[in-house]
Amino acid sequence: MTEILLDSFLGLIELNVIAALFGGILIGYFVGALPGLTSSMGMALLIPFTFGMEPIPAMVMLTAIYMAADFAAAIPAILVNAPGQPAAAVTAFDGFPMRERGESGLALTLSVVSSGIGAVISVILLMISAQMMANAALAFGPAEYFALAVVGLSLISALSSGGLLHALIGLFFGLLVVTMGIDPMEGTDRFVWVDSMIDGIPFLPALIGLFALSEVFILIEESKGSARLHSAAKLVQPRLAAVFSQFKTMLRGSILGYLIGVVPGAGSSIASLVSYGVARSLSKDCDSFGKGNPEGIAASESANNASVCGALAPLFALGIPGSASAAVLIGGLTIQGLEPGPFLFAENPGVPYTVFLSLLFGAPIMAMLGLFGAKLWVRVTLIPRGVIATVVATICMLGAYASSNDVFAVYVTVIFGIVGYIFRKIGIQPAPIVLALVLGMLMEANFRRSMRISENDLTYFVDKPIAGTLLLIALVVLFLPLLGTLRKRFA
Amino acid sequence: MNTKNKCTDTTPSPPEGVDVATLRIPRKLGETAVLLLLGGLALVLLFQSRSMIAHGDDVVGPGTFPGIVAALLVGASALAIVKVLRSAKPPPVVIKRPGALALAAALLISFPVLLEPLGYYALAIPWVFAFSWAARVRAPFLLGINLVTSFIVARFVFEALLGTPLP
Repeated sequence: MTEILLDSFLGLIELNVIAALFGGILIGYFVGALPGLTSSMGMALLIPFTFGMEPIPAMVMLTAIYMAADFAAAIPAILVNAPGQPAAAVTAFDGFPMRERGESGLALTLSVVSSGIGAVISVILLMISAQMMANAALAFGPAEYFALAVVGLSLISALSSGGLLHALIGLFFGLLVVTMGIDPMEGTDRFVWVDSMIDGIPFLPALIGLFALSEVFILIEESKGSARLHSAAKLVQPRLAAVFSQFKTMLRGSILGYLIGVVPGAGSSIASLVSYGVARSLSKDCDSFGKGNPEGIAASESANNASVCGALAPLFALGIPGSASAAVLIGGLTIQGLEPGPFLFAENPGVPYTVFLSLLFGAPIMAMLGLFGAKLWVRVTLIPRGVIATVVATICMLGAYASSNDVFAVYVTVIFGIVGYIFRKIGIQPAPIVLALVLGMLMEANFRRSMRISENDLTYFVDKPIAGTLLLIALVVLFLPLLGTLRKRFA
Repeated sequence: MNTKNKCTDTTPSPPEGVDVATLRIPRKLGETAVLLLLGGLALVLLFQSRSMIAHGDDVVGPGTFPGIVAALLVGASALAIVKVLRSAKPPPVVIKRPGALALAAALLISFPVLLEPLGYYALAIPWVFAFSWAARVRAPFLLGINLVTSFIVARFVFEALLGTPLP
């Protein structure tokens, strides 16, 4: 382990990796500070740019975007009550009231320091737990991988913001899409309506369409010329004691955020909400939450940044993304010819560990950028949404084409963009669809392998203790909300 | 009664909306239409999957997984249709600036159609202008920014840096 860490550190201090880290942080800040752009969208758009990069700088850049976006999202949330990312909406509950009573300096410093502490603690937890998960997963067979995919998808559905039924519809739609093309086991055509579909629906263009292009339609709906900035807040540097008095909350938020991030489908929004809720319920002054209580910022920011590393743990160790943004990272890994999972730690340990170390060393840089560049980043919100929509649409078209030098990929992006927008309008979010696209192939392949091994005996899944337990968890997760509804109806 | 942690809800209210052209589609109609299309697609795939036969001793063949998923999608869509039709007064599906969105969608569909016949750069100039217009970008300076950005990204990032030859 020490040798791997040392090699990874030496890999990190190469010029191209440092450049990728800085580039990722700057792009992540830009994406995070802009309401309307999310880290998953930023990463989906940037993946085609990583084609020409080595695996380590590419992954360092993409994960830096992921984390930096969460750092930056709090800045517009506090200064103009416009969260840069959904998770920062919780930060705005107390951040904006603090800004209104002239405490923007304290609010911003708290958010950045909390994010930094959340990031550092979660990276340490990530380095410890990812290796343990990967070691445990080496013993997994097809039945366990099938069960893991089922659990991942069921958790995503249960935790999706649109409601369970809509999430399941998105999930099944994604699973159907993934079956199109040549069957990998028998070579049969499945739903190949045009020749270009022989290799199936390409993942990256579909991802760009679902996350980025569908968002373009939302941006067009919301476009209203130039935004007007509130009067510039005077940023007064707070006393350090005022910041570090929230250390206990930051620590608790970091651990909670990490654990929630590990759960597939949970994500930063749930992590920050739960941490905020816990902080409020444990506080002696709970009524001041939502009116400018610094503890609210400390709780939400530490958790939402910690959840980033939480989501990376199952991604790198098991190949199961912990969030929609982590699912985008799978696209990045695939393009580099790397398969996430236990074999990545066994065969290419430099990749995950360099990424982890880059986040550890990148966190203070992200904090500095936030502390000293807040006024600059908030001006990013002045960029008219129409300009962002046009530039993003152009990059989507180019990125889709570049993924395979084939115009079919552009058609896929456009179709998924329009379908993604329509689905959002009726409450079907893109996250379950993307996760189904990622996990569907794994699920089907391992199901069929298991059936071959067991000679078509379905009890094979139940006989394996790990697989059986995971499938039971999936059933409980899916049916528990239903039991709750039935109980209310008959109460 | 434990009132120690009894907290009032202090969630701030969202900002007020801006008055724009809006299309309001009754949710029962809009959602049902989309779900019917989805369910219909799933039904077609379900029937197609039935013709995919497993080889040898396999019970699970190429059509099994898609067949199961298609059946689940038909069921879930049907349930969702029933749920929305039975709901009391669901909020409408609100689409702001429908004209602009329709133009944007048409432009996006036209992009891959015209990309190879016209080539990227010949297509990009009118396309970026038209898309900017749909996105309510009117100021010449901003239109110029969009065009220059598109050119720089295509020429220097995709072609030069990534080596992606554009048509």
